[in-house]
Amino acid sequence: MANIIVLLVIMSMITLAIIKIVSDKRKGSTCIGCAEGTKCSSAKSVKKAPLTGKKIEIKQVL
Amino acid sequence: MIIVIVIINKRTFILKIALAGNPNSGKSTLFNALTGKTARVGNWAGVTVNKKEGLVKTTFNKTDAEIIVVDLPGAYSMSPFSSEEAITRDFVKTEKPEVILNIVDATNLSRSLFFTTQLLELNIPVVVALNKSDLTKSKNTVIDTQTLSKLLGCPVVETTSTKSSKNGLDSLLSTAVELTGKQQSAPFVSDGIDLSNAKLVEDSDIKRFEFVKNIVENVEQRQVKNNRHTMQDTVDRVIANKWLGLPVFALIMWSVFSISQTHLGPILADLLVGWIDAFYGMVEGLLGSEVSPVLGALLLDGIIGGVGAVVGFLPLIMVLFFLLALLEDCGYMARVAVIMDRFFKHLGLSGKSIIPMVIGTGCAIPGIMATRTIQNERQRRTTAMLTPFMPCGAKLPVIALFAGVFFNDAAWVGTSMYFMGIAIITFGAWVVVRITGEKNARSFFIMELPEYRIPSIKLALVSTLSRAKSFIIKAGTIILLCNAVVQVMQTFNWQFEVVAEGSAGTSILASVASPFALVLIPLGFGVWQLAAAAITGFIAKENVVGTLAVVYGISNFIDTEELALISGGSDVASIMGLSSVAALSYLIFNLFTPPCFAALGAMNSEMEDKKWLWAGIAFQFGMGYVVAFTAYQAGTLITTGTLGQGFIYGLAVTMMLIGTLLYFMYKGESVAQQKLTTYNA
Repeated sequence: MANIIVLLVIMSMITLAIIKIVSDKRKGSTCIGCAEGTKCSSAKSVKKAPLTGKKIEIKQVL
Repeated sequence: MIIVIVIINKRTFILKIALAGNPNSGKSTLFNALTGKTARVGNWAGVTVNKKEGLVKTTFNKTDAEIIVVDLPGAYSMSPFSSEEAITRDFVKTEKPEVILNIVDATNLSRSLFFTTQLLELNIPVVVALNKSDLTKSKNTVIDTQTLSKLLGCPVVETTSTKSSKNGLDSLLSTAVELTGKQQSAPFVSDGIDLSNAKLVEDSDIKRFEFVKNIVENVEQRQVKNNRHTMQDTVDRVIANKWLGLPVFALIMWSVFSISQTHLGPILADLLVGWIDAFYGMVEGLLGSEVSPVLGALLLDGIIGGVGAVVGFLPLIMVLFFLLALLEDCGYMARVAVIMDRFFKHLGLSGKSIIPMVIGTGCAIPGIMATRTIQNERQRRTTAMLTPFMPCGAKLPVIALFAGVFFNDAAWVGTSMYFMGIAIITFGAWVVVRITGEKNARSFFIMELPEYRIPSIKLALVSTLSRAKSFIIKAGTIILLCNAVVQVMQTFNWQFEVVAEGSAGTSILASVASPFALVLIPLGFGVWQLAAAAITGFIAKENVVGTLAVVYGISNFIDTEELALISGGSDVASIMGLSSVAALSYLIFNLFTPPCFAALGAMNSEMEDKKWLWAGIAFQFGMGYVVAFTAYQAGTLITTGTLGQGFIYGLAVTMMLIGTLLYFMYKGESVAQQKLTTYNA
């Protein structure tokens, strides 16, 4: 009986951990519980638009 | 940055309100204050690179509707130069919010209003939030908000988003809601200009600047400054000095590590570890002798012991993050970017590369994501490849463990790991620019330096608690699972029989990790236990600590006096069987080999090139291996007078890696020559 209870406790902890990971993944998080939290810029995949090869001209306009 | 607020009425209508502003005008702070969220904020430009959404708290929302806030990256104009500015421009133009809240930095009105006048042309009602109003008062600057409102043709509300009360946010939000559906006329219109005609655009911009200048002259009374240096200039002369900048940075980092890992951190950690030990003892008592030893070990050593060993370092990490947040908020970290630019620009990187690296000290993933603000493709990919060399938050427990167990909590261990990371990044940039044949490329870096200010304890606490929460979630999910798997793999052999005591080498874990351990012999730690911990570190770096706790049966790395009771050894060092030099080598290997898989995924996403990705991973493995090998062999030679185990074997691997690098650099040299010839022609 004691073994069954301990097994249930272990299984429930593992199940909860898996549910949390899967739920975060479904929300779009690419990492689990990183130091920045799940609201960091990696939380949602966003279409990037890197502007490469642009020439930059700097001048004083006033 | 633009923050878009979407108001959804539960009954009949949806209302969108957008907040817009220049970088570092306080938009994310305002977003956090309005929503109660903990989006990353920083006292410098470029912290936010993506939009974020959140519901406005009920304390601010006096309507029946639900209000959703969208925090967008900062922008200087509606003609985007950087990718994050493009996100802001595209969102405002395509999502068509009903109202825009324009966050204006009251301390820099003339610069901020250029963007304001562009927003006012969009035919979307605008409310100006005159943020950082507390700072204008302290500088004896007076802004006539009523006249400003009249000249702009839109409401102006004074706000101080860092304050918890009397911050003007109630008034701001109610004004925005009232403005919904109303019409405003733009005070300056430049419609119909052919944007492909640079001369016309420039003329229009000059007229707009003149218009803004006239407004500012009418509404702002600023204390006239003479040409003498301010206190801030004096401080910058030391902190951002060509020669003193780096030593000052080293001193500050040493102090941060000294407080977090030698003084305050361990005191707090002792308390927490005491509670974890008490919990361990309580569960052990509850289990009694009836429970199967396999199940008992899985629960006690695998789950509670493994997770507890990682969580035990939480106070040290929290103190460190708190101090780093204070440094960032007071404006110092922006100066670090300036200090580093001096070195980076000679290596084909720009000072902008330091921003992802500083963000990477929290977590490599957002750091790598932040590289998208870098326009140059090679610089962006190089920065994404090198950012993981900065020790991230997940690596801190590993640093703390080895600094505590083998070096008596010495602060130099953590500090030197950061500087070693910078040195490897510098070397990596030097190599990459030669391999890609762009060693003649030069870059420039422009960054608006924030003013020094007294850091907000509240913001630092919020940031620290947010990271602590994430750390605990990680410990309770991925670390828990990994430790459970490691415990099972350690308990059984391939026939799924329980491994007899003293025959741990026959376990599944040992047989999987042993081949890797052979490769690690020249680095001073060629045993399967340490190899297994290093492998699990690629899932999450905290796993190194958790796995070591499981495989050595150590539940407490902080209060090592208790170890004799748990593992029968005198101390952790003897249990692991490592010399101090080998421990340093192991620490270096775990810190400077590739980061966790999630960070590799981020690298893949930002590099958008498999060749760069695999070359980056190979470089990270090579660097980690060579630096650890050098540290172990040189350290052993110095401390014992003889070379360490597997020197010849390790030297052969090192020479092969260096030879490969030299070959690619030689190939890159000819590309550089071709480019130079073409350019001269």
